[in-house]
Amino acid sequence: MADDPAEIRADAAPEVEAVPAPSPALPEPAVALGGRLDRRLLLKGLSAGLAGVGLAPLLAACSSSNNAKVTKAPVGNEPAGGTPAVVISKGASLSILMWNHFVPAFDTYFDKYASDWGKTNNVNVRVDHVDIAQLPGRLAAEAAAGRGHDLFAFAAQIQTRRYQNRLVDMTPLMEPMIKAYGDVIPIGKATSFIDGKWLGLPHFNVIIPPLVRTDLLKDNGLKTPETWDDVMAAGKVLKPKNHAAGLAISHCNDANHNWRAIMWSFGASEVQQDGKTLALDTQEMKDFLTWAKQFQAEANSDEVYAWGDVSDNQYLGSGTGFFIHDAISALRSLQGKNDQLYNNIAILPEMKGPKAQLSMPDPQVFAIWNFTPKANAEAASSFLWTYMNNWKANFIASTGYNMPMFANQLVKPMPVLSEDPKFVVMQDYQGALLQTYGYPGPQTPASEDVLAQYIIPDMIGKLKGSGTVEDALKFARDQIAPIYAKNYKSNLTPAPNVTAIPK
Amino acid sequence: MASKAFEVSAPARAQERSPWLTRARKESIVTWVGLAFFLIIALFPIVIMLVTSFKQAGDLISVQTPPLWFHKWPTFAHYTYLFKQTKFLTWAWNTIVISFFTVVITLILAVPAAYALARLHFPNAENFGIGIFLTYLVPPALLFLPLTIILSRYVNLIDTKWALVVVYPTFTTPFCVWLLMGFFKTIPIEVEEAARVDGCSRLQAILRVVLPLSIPGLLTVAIFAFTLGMQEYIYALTFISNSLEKPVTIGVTSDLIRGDEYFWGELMAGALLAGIPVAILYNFFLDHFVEGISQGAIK
Amino acid sequence: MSLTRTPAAAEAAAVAVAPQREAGRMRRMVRGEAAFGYLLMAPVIIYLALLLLYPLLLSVWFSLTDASTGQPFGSWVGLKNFTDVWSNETFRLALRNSFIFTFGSEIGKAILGTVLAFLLLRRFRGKKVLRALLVLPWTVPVALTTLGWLLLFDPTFSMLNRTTSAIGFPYHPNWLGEPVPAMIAIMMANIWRGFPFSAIILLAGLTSVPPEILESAALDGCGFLRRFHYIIVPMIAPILFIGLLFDLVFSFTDLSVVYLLTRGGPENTTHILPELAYQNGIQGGDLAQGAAISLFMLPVFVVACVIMLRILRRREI
Repeated sequence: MADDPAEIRADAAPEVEAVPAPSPALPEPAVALGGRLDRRLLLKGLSAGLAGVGLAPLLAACSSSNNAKVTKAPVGNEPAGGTPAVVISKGASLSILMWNHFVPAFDTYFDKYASDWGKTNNVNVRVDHVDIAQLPGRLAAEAAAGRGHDLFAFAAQIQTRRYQNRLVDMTPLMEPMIKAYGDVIPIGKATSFIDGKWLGLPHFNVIIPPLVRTDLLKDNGLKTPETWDDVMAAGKVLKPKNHAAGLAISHCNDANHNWRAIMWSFGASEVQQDGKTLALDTQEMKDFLTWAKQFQAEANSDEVYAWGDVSDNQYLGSGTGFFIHDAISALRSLQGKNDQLYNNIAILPEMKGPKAQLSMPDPQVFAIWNFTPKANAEAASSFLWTYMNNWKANFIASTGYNMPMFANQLVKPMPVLSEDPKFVVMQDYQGALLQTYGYPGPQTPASEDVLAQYIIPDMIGKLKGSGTVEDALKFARDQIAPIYAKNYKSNLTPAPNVTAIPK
Repeated sequence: MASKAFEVSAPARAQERSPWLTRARKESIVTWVGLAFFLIIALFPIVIMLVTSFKQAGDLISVQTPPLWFHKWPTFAHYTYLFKQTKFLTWAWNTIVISFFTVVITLILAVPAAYALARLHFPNAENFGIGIFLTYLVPPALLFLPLTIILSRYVNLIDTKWALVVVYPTFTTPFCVWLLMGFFKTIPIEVEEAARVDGCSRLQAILRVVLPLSIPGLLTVAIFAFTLGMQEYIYALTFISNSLEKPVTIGVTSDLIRGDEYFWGELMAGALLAGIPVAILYNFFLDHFVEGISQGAIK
Repeated sequence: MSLTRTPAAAEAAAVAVAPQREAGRMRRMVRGEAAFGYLLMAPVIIYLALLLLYPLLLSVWFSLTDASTGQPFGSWVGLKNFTDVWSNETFRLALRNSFIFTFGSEIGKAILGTVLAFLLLRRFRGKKVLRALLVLPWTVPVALTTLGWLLLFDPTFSMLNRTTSAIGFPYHPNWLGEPVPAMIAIMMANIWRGFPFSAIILLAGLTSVPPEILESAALDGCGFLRRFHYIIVPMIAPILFIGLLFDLVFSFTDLSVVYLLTRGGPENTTHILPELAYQNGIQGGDLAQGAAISLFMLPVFVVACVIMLRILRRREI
């Protein structure tokens, strides 16, 4: 029955945004010493609590102790997700560390949701928000201190593998979720499924699509681009008219995303599928760099070396750029402020390259430290369960930003996106199209270090002026090789178990 | 006003030259041209910030209109947002509290040490003095990780403003010890001796005679520590994630930079609202400050 | 704490201040003085040992291991991190930049600060108000003013370039997008935020120079620069010295301007050491390398500072 997406969606996630009733406290520990949530207990709590909610049969099916009375309840009248997955001990509190969402209204929604959940369950809840760029520093500090937030979000840099010895195994929470909502898309697995364990709970992706000025294309008799070469062709016409494309080549998140997406679409990558062997010296990489040099010279704005994450949004918002490749906040921020421009901007499917069509979104993944006090870890799991089952309301609250990572949640028509013709295309951003740094290998600490040092954008930067493809390659080699060498010589950072990485 | 007495008295030499371009006029022109130059340098970014904080969103990201002036009507929306949608007042209050207690701790640590180094003779005094200054060389970029361990494991202050109160004196104290050291040297030792002959203990002499005489110096150190405390960025960035405990620098930057959207108007409004009161405060104490430093540094 | 190690100078000084006291009492005083001295020093020493020395030693330990943010307690690798970073092109660029950034900013601050200090010595109307305006760059938190600079340098709106071109100034680079202008840009922002403080320090120094000296130098026909160099600077050297030292270290260890303006870009040409340490050590997770980068120059500075401070103290005594 889990295979019928429509039914599950209807059953498990009614649109009522509500919070479950408090459940009786169970003295037994739900988190075993190893930090792994006790699956049996979890399922017991789940199915007991879920009786009367549509999800219960699914859980009963996977629970060995089938003591739940399976009755199907009327759809839509019950609160989402039923009862907490794990019974919360007395005295639990829950502190949550999030980033500042691109959509401020979503933070308001999330904070209220968490606070309501806390009130219902007699848990003292606090939600903290930091800037997305500050998360790694903050998490490093918490890990070093062995003390921190009870539940936190990785964003952009998903450091599950870096902290793999410090995180709670969330498999017991993930199994029923996968049953209910379908398999996790590859990027979710690449970021959260480490050596056979779910160390993170894939929350959502921020999709990074091409945004293009349709009026400029039309006025100049250009077709809507489908490939990166089309973008180059259009840029050649529009750059002389002061409407260049705007792909940052600088130390910012956007540059890291965009140039990786293009690189992969040329069949090039920094590393091979094993996640250890460098793949820089390939014909594909040379082709990509040759293309990038020409693109920069003839189609891309000359300003891009100075850009931060905000710059391409402003470049588009100022009416200058004809093409950027960024999250839809660039578009949303124009809505109601500059409607004429807003109407002239279209979201496109991801551009195709000579070898592939790939996109690199910003994922967000929930995780729990294994040093989190037991009662609080229970509360965190319980909260996550309720919250994740409320996915549709969450998605709506994010104005279509938070693209889920479970296959059955990605079925068309999706709320919000299917309702606005401008955003319909966003529904196609799913499946294997979405990949993350480290691709085609797993996401590793080494690939993360390459990301954090902005080596890929800097490699493109080396092509500037008289810089050659060889210069760029040499730079990349000199920077990347020591990072990988260091990570795999050190026995402290285990080499990724290639076989364990799901396809 | 301390500096008044020392100002170069221009009028006295004014009669030397001929009718119009008197020496006084010339000096006045030089003064004002110089001041105009500095005002432009100092205020150009500030004016841009001020204008931005009143600009409508559409006016800001526009390449057609002059950046220095308004194309659409000025708006108070950013200020309204700052006060209504963010916790700006809480952040401002936190900054005041943090800076105030940083000053208090700095004084408690620096005054006795500086007095000892300036007045008392004990073995290795010089080495201690130099050692204290050297701690200031330690780069904070990575210190915060070990500090986090201390703050969260041993004293459990992480994520509160008190974490910053505990840490900030690490970078204010070394310099302040040296400033105060010079300052205490300017107080004639005979004053202290006299107090002791009158039956004061050494400690009493310090409290009743030396400290009251050192008020300009203490004020200097206080203002200095206050400014450094409210400017700090990196420690606050990693120690505080709770919005209610953030100081202005972190609150404004972390809550008004949302991924790839900068709330320029609010950011600039927040910056100015945080900085202008301190500038006024500074100006108010500047004479004491200058007096304090000059007495302290030169015997 | 033994009496025998009391320097002769100290005894002499004690004799000088209390010549009429008899020797025994003096000796008791000296002994009590040492105890009292250590007592007064105790708080600051304990505080700094706990909150600076201990973290510092931990950082040194990190730099000698293969620690990462995931595994802060790694295994011993000796000086490998130091040799690794030394052979890295980006690091050496950052090292060079750190010096350019620090000394370039310092020169800028010194020139602007000196001129401003002399201007503020003069008498003019509205001085109080103007002074309040002139210290604004120093009092508005740097993390926030740097965002203002970000807006000024922004290539799309280029408020700076459009303003300078309006007055006919010919230099309009892509400030944060080209290596040399980007270095100039981060120094400009750093000089701007720091020059009022330099001016205040200098003003303090100048107010302590007796006005007759300034006057007589003028009457002697000394040129301004000569007067400044030969008469004023030696007089205010102690404060200049300590202010300069403080400022140099501050510029060398502060990362907020670079972190907020360029993050080391374009193409790693504006990294400075503390910012590179933060990027590699914390964002990139290589704690050991980050520690090595941030500690790299420490020995040099310690030696330099010890020498300078000793000279300074000798001068004063």
